[in-house]
Amino acid sequence: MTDSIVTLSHIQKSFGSKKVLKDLNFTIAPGNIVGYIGPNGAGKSTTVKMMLGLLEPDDGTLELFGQPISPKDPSYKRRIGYVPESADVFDALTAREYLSLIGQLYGLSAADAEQKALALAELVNLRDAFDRRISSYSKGMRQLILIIASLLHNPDILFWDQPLNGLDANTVLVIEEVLQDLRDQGKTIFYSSHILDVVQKLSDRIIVLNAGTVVADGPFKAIAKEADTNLQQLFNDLTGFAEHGQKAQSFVDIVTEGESHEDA
Amino acid sequence: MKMLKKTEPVPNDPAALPLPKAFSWLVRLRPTFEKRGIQFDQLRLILATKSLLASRESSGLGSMFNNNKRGKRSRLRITFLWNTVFGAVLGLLLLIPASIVTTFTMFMTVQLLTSFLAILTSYSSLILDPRDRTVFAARGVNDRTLSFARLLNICFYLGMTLLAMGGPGIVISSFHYGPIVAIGGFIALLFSGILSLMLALFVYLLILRFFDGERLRNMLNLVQILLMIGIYAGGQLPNLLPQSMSIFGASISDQFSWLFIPAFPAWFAGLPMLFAGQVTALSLLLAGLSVVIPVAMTLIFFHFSGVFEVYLEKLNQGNARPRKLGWWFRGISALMTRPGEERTYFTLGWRVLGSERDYKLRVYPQLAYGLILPLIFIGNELREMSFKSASHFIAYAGIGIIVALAPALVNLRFSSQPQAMAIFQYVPFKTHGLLLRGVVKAMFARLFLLPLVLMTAITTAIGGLDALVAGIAVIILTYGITLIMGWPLVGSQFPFASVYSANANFRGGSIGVISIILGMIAAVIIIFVGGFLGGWIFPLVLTLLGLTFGLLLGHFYRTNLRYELRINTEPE
Repeated sequence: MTDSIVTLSHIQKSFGSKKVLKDLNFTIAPGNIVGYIGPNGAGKSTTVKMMLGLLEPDDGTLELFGQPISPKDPSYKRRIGYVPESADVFDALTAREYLSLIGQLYGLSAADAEQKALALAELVNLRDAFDRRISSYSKGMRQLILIIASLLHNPDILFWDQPLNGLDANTVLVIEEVLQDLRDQGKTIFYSSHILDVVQKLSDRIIVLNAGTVVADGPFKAIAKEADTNLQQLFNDLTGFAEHGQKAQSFVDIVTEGESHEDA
Repeated sequence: MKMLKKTEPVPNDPAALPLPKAFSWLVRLRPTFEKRGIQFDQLRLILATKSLLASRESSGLGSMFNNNKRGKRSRLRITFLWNTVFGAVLGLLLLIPASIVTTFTMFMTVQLLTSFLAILTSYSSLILDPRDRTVFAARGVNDRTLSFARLLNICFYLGMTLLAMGGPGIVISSFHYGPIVAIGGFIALLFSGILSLMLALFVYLLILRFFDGERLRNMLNLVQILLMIGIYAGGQLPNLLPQSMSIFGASISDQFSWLFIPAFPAWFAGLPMLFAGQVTALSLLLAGLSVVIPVAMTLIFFHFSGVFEVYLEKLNQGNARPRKLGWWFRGISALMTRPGEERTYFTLGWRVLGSERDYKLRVYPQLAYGLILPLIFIGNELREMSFKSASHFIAYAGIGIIVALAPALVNLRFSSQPQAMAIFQYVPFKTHGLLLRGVVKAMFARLFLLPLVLMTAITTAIGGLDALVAGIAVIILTYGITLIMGWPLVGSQFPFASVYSANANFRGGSIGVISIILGMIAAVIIIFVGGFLGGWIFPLVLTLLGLTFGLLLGHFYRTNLRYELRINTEPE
């Protein structure tokens, strides 16, 4: 019997000549909120896709729920709720149709899936748009559809890749509380986000990935080197990005050089 | 039999989507599928969803599934009718007074080309849709089920295309050769469709296995074009037999020869020969190959179908670095455009066309087909290696280019990122016609100019000054025709501002028909002018025509076009 719900050992992954993940190792215990952060291209989405069996590692082992994942038996995915990084949905469907489809893929009846989806949609003010095609939705509304889709089947673990993209501040607050409540009920949440103050506030543990390797791992207080730092500063230090002030100044200089076109 | 016991296609759950009628027979085979690892409920869901999605499109065969709206049905009927008319014309090949092996080889060569073209241009987006993995595979659908569902979906569309394009020919053959031979022809037609599909799938499988990133996309395009040429070349192999005569002459030899083995379009003449009572070594060999190879390929593909799904994820990975604009671009843009707005739009068009995978998949095979046409017209001369008139060859190449022109222009409307064109809604964009002119010129320069210049160089080496003059004249004429056709085909719709329709397969067929008809009209004009006037007058007339079109329309574009800057994120 293992304590961890997810175990990654010596995972490596390359795309062509580009090595995206280099010897990735971590485990996740149940009932935790784990923030998985890193610069663009660090390998966050690749990690999530491998945990879902969408990509195979070149090397290393990956276990979920104490078992190595196998493409021949995808039944473990019924215990996972997934929010993809890009809003890959079928735009021509309505939210009702799309969520019913996803619910059925997870083994719910169509009627149950629709009923549950409608109830969740009402809570996030999507009731009026429920029977409209998703193509007419704003970015935030699409994101909410993906979030609802990941929760319909009451999964044990959530893999959320940039779940807060496009959401308004009020909805972000709701989602934060939802995640905390789910964690309190024993669910495990593994998510990535670029909104670092939310990650700092919400996460029991933070894993920082840079250039395919873990550069920090632990609760925020444990990985922070100084007492008065915040996750943004820590992130900049860990990922070797210290020249933001200088870059901003250069940016403004270029924008404002030459004549103004106001009168053109 | 227990396996064939009839069960309801509609699941017990009343809110669930039922299987489309076209697939209701699958229910009877449920136990068999499940024994082979296919998740039947998931299969039903995927097929039902795909059908629902198809029915939401204003064009496409998928609207058959949901035939409540009269407009959609009538559009569908019109496109189906167009393809059937085209199929009836093709069917006339079977009336040529020649042996069965000759007529059916010619007929099946065109059928294979047509179905393969349809797969590459219209169904490739269904085969290579990595979105399915995010939606379905991430939610517990196994790779075998996903692959099988995709295959069934494509088979349905392909079956309808075969029916429209090949059905009339089979009916004609039943009058000409009798119903028994027609049945043989029909079975052969089905196997030819399977072979086309399997060829495409194996090519995709190999390329997905060995390549990544942008190279993967480029290889997909290149191999597709080479396969098109291969199919045509395969159909021509039996003509190389010593006893054979011209394609429109007498007959392909019906004596056994090993050349028939690589000539795979000829395989599909085997069953009609057998059904006509010609039980010979040749007919047995051909019929055997036409059945065994497609079936074997299908079984092998099923074995690898899971791997195919995993490889598809590669298409979701980020692109490699974009190519730099080279000397060809710099020279051509300086030659064809004026500095300023038009050159900016030319560059935009050039870059977009270089990165649009869907555009390449839809248009490049058509271009290859267009380039094959001259070989068909002067097949005899090529075979006899008596290249009498290089200038005639280049004229026919012009015809081929014109055949590919309609799809190349129509697809300028689409982009995988139509929202990007919204930038024109908030920048001061005044001269709309220059955008169209720049983009159409970029398309011509990128796709057509280089092959024409290369052909002119080759034919000049063979045919001397006459061929050079003819080459220049053809380039100018095709440029003029590009501008003429650009106006009706892209002038009403903002370029790159509509999302590609994954199921616009039937429209692909009708565009093919329109382009072939236009090509034929142009062929008649060019052959008439070239054949009867000859000498210097032929290229001179072409040059004058091209220059007139070019100058008139170049000005007309600038002053007479105003786009509605609308972005269509839903498939047309």
